[in-house]
Amino acid sequence: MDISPHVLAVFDPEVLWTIALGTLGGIVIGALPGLTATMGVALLIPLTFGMAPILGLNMLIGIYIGGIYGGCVSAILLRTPGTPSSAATVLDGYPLAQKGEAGKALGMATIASFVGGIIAAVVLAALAPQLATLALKFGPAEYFALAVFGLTIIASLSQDILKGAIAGLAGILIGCVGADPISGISRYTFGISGFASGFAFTPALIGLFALSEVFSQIEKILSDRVERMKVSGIWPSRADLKGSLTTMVRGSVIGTFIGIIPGTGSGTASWISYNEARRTSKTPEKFGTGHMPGIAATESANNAVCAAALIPLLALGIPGDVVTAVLMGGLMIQGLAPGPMLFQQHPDIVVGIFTGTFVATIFMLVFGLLGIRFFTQILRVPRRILTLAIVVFCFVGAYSINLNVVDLYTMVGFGVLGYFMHKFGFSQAALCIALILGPMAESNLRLGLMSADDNVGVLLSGPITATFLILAALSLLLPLYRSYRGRRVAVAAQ
Amino acid sequence: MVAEARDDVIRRKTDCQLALFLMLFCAFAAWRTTLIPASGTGTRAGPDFFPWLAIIGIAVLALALLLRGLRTSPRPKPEAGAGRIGYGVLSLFAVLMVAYAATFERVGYLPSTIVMYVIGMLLLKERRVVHFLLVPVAVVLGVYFGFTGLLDVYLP
Repeated sequence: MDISPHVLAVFDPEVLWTIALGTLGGIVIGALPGLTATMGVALLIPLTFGMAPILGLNMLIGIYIGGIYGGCVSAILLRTPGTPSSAATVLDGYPLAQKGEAGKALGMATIASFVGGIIAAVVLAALAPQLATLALKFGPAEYFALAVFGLTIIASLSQDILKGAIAGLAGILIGCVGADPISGISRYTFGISGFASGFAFTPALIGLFALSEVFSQIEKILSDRVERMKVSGIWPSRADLKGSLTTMVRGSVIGTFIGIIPGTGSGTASWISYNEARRTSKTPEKFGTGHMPGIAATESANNAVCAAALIPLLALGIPGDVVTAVLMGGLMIQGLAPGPMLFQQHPDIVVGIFTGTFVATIFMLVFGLLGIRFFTQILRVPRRILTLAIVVFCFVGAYSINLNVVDLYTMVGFGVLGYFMHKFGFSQAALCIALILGPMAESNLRLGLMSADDNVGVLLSGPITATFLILAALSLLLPLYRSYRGRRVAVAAQ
Repeated sequence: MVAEARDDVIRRKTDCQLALFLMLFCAFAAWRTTLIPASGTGTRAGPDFFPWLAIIGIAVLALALLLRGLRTSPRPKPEAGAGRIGYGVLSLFAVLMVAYAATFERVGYLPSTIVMYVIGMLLLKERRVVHFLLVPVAVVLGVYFGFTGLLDVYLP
């Protein structure tokens, strides 16, 4: 089959313009705390109704890719993850901004996002049907093992493993608030109907990272310890790029793999990628202090998820994450049923989407790099004004997700919790990871036990499950071994 | 070196207090967990399985934190906090956040946000009238028109 006409159709000026507009809009939406790529796609789906499928769908994909990338802007500049997928970027991005290297951090994030997006798009174009079949092999036991593997990240992320583990367990307990995922029984809701479905994740995240930072900033302003952040350079150095290349490629592969597994999402991918980057680094102690490979790991992974999540959607009709679930609606209002038949009945659409993914990723790179100088101007705003402006964005972002005032209380509560956690050395990242992966681990373990008649051995014996559990054990034991060896070396040196 | 050692001791003492707080929290959470009804989900791992796992885990780790804290002695009193006034303002700021959340929907975005911003600027010791009156109005209106006009997001 000659696909060149379908490829060339995307290079029509009208299609290019639409993709560019979608990508730019996505970056703006993603950069605003609380406004997620999902919301951007959902808001604009009605606009695409009257458009030709190739125009409308590629515009939505542009918003998706731009939205996931845009989350890094506020994560790096304001310690406020624009989207949940950029929460891990805060760890190294914000310290870099504090050192006056916000421009370089944004540059690295943009390049890593581009690399992740392109690698996943190549995989999407080459292996979509085959990979989608692999993803179908994931049952409750495999998801549980994946969640356990993800939770072991906590061990390597925490400077104080004891406090990190406490934060992780607290995250699991907080994740239990609301209706039990299997029986529907209410847990810890105290009769408040707003908590019936648990704490809203994005407001909790905004509180945990952004509002807690507002409290810290207030403390600094009051004690006159506030430093005006300088902004220098927009390009990561050649050494930075060279040092992050392997991490970027690894992050892209992790993001692609996680992206094809339905229901996991870019948040999980970016944390796992960050953990792997740190675990395999020769200088793991630099992670969390403003280390370029930290940004490369998270941003390559979360943007790789974008294209990869399209694989099960297009090949099997199963959305890979929440955004692709909304995108599925976009396909359906165009009269297209995603699944294996889509490849046979509408090759023009499939090839158009594949090509559009490449084009949107290139636009993301261009807009991202051009926008860095503009984005970093935010840091020149006086601290008092900026701090309170962040509060306004936090509230508007948290409220606009569900238009529910309970989400505002959730955000304030998590803000206070995050402030004290930071103050007393508990890892906010550990709590965040557990909030994402705890409910996933719980529901899949219990579903798996139900289907295996409570036989744990049967549940955990599959090859994929066993692989993840071995990786989890390694991920947990290596930091402990390193710490033990470090102590031995220190004792020997004395 | 002396300062580092003192910080370490302060940290250890705080660890003891944190561990006790965590144990109290675990007792409370355990009581609430006993109120979760058991249900026939076809597995021994019911709706209270994961909560118990987390609670027991936190309690054990809190005990470890307590023991770690107790191993450090003697404990000099931490210096009087330079940030006592700061903590007062932080508490006021937390109250302001709760009040803002309570009025956000009832009073509406514009009035509640402008009032919050002005009070916030005053709490942050901003005394220039242009800064604590005009800047809030400009920022709040800018955000309002950006969200409602450009992004079509509803604000009360």
